[in-house]
Amino acid sequence: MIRADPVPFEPTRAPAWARPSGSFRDHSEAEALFFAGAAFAALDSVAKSDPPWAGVWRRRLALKSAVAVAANLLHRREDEAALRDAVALARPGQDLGPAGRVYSAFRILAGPRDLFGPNRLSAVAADLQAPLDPEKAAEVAAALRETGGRGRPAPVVAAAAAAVVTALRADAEPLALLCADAALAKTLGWPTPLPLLASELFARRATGEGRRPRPGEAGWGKLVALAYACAALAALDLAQDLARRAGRLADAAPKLRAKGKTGAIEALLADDAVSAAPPIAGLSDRARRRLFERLVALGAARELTGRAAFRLYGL
Amino acid sequence: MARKASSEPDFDRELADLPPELRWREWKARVEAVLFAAPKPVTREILGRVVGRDCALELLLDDLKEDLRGRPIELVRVGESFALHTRPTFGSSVRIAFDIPANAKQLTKLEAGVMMAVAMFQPVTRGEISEMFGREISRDLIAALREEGLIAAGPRSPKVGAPYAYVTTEKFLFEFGLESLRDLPDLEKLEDTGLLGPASREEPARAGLALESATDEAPPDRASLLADLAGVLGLRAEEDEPEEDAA
Repeated sequence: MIRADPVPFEPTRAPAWARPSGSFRDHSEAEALFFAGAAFAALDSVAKSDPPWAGVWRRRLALKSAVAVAANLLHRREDEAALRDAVALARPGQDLGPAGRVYSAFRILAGPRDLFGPNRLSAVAADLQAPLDPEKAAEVAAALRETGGRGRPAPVVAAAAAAVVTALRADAEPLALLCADAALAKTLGWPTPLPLLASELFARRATGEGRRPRPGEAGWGKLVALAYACAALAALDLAQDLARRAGRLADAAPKLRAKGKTGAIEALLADDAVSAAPPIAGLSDRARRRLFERLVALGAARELTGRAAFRLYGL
Repeated sequence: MARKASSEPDFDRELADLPPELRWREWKARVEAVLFAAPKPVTREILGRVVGRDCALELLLDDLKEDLRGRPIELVRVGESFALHTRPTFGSSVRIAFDIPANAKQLTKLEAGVMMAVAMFQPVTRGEISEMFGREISRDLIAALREEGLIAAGPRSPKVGAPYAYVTTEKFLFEFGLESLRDLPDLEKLEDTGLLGPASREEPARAGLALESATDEAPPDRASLLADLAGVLGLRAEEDEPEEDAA
């Protein structure tokens, strides 16, 4: 039987009043924190439960953040499609190029492992073009552990974590954003971090026209809170969309007759983009391609690239 | 070098019996000696083997850099590694002394341009670079750059034939004296300031693969800009004869 969606999981909806209406200048820090709190409360149940489509969800959030960081902090011009290609089509051990490595760093963040170990931290830092040597990584890791005090509001802890990283290494802002997300998840008791902060930090509506406050500067706390408010709501919207799509995939499942269909459906629910090339148990090369095409025809999956070859499928 | 700590049983790392200034000077001298003798860039970890545990290596290296001011060599930092280089102005002296004929290592203008194209637009395929330059970039040229270790094959591009997309290597950063790819000039800014001329109008914010659309109109501009950029950065690529007659 397909265990893709035994009980349809319906993500909560955020109340309309939780949506910040104005820009950076219209809100005080207290207001920003209120919006962030409301958004996190709505997001909490989804982030803590493990819906079948959690894999896609986390990776799509990672992709969004990675694109924002690559474009705004590292001056890379690769867009979402290019990053998706880089990671989905690469073989293990290949250099993904600078922007692709940013995406893979955010995927590590959204993975099950604790980011705050020195080794993982320095691996991620190298991907974000701010390499840390082991001593420094240990120092950063220790400082990050200290920031997570009990009883402080999560966005404040996240903002402090980012400031700690940039204080130890000024050019490591991408890493700082990643650590902020990890610190946030720790404070909120989420089992896996969600990449949120970077995706909204650079939006025009977050800062208004002026210069964006850097980690640790005046206004940074407010900016972080506001960015989190927007990002958490966007993540919730994405969760709703994915829940609907996953439902459609579950509906289509009985119409498939291929033997290895479970593997294919699981792959679609686990990752943002799936290529038909890597093997899936029970499906031959040809059968995989046919199965994915059939899912697209049934409206249960999408072809993400629009190409005729090297196609990638996703929810 | 300091590979086997055990081969020097009475090597005093901490120098606890010296007054602080002397100890600092001794540590600095040791670091300089290691850097001088090293055939390739030395990581911080290796440098840490010859100084005491409570030595602030970062400050020590800054201090060393300051000491070398006015000398023909300089301390160069690449990522987390360090090396001593001759200063660019003495490049010609070194070349004449060792009779290096227009240096085998020196890149031609086209190679330099291609190198920069890879650096700026990586991962990028040979076909894309060819379009950018408005002429065929030969496989040999790419192979030569690969041979030098300046670029490497990255992911394969999702196009007919699945060509390799090329990315730059650590060695590239080192040869061009960059700490990370972020030190490359920002092409968008150059376009905004008008350095790139007509090419600036059709290429606002699209991503790397939108090159095709941009290059149809004004390939020569971009090609020559890239070559010029390489020239500017390449000043440092030509001169590197690290002081490596170790023994």
